[in-house]
Amino acid sequence: MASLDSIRQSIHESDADVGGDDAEIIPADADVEDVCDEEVDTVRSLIEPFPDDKEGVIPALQEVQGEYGYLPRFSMQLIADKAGTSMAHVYGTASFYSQFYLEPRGEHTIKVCTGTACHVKGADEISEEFCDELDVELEEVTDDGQFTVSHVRCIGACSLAPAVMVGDNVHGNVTEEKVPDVIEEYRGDDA
Amino acid sequence: MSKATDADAELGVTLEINGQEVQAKQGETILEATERTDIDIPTLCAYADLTNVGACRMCLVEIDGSRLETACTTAVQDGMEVEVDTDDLWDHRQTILELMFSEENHYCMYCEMEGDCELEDMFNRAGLDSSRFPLEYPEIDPDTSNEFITMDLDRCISCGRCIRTCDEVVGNDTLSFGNRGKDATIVADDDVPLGESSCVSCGACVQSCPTGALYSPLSAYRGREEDCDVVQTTCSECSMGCELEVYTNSGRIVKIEGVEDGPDGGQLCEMGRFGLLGDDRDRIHEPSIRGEGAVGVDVATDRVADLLEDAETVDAVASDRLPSETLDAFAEAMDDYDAAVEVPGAGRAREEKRIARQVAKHFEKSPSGLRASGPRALLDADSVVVFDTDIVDTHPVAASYVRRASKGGATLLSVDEDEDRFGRKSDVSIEAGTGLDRVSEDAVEVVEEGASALSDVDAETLMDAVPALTSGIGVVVLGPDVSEDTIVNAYALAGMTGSKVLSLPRQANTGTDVGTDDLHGSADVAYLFAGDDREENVDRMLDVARGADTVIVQATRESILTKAADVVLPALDWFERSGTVTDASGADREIARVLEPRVAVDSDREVLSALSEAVEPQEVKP
Repeated sequence: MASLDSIRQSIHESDADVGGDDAEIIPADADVEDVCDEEVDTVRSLIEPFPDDKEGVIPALQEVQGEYGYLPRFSMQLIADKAGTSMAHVYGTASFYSQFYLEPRGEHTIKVCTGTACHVKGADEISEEFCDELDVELEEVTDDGQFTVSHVRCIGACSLAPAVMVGDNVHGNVTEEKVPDVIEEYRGDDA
Repeated sequence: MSKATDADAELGVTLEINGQEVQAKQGETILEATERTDIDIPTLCAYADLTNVGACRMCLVEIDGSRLETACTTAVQDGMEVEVDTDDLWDHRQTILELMFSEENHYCMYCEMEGDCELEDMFNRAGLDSSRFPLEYPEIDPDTSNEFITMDLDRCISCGRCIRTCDEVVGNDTLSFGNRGKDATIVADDDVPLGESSCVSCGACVQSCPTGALYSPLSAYRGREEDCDVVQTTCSECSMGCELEVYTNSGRIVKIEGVEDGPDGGQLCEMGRFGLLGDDRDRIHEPSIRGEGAVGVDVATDRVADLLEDAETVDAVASDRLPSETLDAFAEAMDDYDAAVEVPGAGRAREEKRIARQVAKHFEKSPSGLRASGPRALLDADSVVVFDTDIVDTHPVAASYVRRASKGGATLLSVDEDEDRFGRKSDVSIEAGTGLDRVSEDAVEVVEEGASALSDVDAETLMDAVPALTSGIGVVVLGPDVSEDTIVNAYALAGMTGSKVLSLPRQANTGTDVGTDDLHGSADVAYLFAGDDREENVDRMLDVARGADTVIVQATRESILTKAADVVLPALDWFERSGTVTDASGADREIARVLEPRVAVDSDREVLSALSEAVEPQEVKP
């Protein structure tokens, strides 16, 4: 797994001692024993407000993903412990919903619409261009931790086809030539 | 939901199923109501006492001529008219079966379960011999990472029986559904290989799987159930005494299953289900004498009798896994030679009887009133205290009941000198650095004096947790490695709070009164009846062997002990013995012969009585 300094950095920007230049992203399969106490404490405090039973699992998963951008294994172990349920239950829940990611994600997800209109207008080429430009596969994260390219179903912007969404912003009538501009708009933007 | 039906409820509901009048209990499901009749509603996802979920849709029935419902999740109503076998219903079932068949890779001819498969049976029953839908050919890698259980999801129909079994019977929660919709699949933990997961390899999921998705490679391709003979016997690996259903074919054991409607609810452990199949130590077929090699049984017993007779002192030790009848014969034979007799582990049961009597007297109760009737008592408990959580390894089936109690809402307090093996199932864990006896004594004090001056760091935790014992039904579980003080404290705790003690000694047969002597320590002759005891259980016998000049070993398989022996006598294996053992709760259980012995002796008792007979008549003491 590529090192993803910037995610860790941006997460801990206000927390100068943690992270630092050499900080690496926590691998998806890291166990509780593999991560430092600070990370465990971070997750514990994030999930603290939620109920100590199965009802607390989904909000806890959402909270952790809000912090890390995905659900590292150790966080699911901590959630299972707190909710008094099994790892299998937490994983079953996390893998059921498409809102949860089990692999690290880029800070910005470039969602290429593949609805009918966008498909006809060349969504595949656009998506390929994004991947080539960023040197990643679909659903992978770039080495600098900034971007993930993803396909989504119709986003309702058919008149702007082919359309791409980054965060809450919609970019319409995207052409292969415009792809670098879209990327540049977000690169280094640690919002 | 449906299992909540009160067993004693009266048959107050009348409905019509397939035109036949059926009496049912209020709250019962249609499927349950038909169990008292000869009406057979097809099912795939319903199994034994598991919660019904209506997943497979096979039990679709037509109600009042219009709506279709699953019989396993629909409660009976007065005057209901139910049809089970209409053409329309079978059309639906056919379609569902065809979809099941096309979705995964069911190549029946090449499947281990062919002939024993419920899906295949259902396909035949629905009159299908092919599927209308194109096959999906999904790419699935069989998971062979667990040496006892193969998970081949090529044959999985996502009925969820394994998941519910792991949850409701084993209480281990290793399995779950992962992903969604068409991609939904069975996963262990967070989709790790079964062999690397939290699976305890008890094999309960293998027993409940209707297809060939979960099977044991130890049993694979050894014969269909219909070609097997089945014998029920009792496991003697620990003091649980679980009932085994042993399938044999062509003189070998094919597989071992639990008995769902038996006293143990069908649950077995890795050792009982798989370990017993895979004892690959070399078998001892005939007697042998050091320096002379193999000899006949008569020659060997004569020699043993001579050795015993010539000895000034004899130390005799027998395995605690042998049936009571065999142990009695052993004691009798050894008594004829004035041997000092010991059954390692038998001390605990004796000690406990004495403690229970005294504690019971103190609380004006009967000793049996202090003991739990068996592990099932845990399911009714409001609170459970476990001293020594190693029962997870030593008594895995009892551990299942503890986990189930915890899942059912009982407060679980675990006390262990090391790591709490119940982990997140425990409501309170105490790592007793000061020892179990200290903590159990503190617990007694908490009950006796309430907020007394406990100095221990665990005091506060105890103060919070122990009072749970005093309200509702409590069970105190004693693991194998507890001191006499802890046993006393546990019984006292039970006496004071009205709780029951479930004691789980290592010793398999707790019913024997044999073995009360102090051994000589360095006797002329040691007679060691090891039976099929494993290496870790023969330590005591090794000690005795080291102290003796001449060593006689009666054993089933080669071990470090037989290598040290001057004379080796063959003994029966667990599946060849017969007799009675007493389980941890004091109930007698039958050991039945599964296969005829293929060694030089037909019975352990015959060897022992030959030794008795060889004794020259003693002078009658005045």
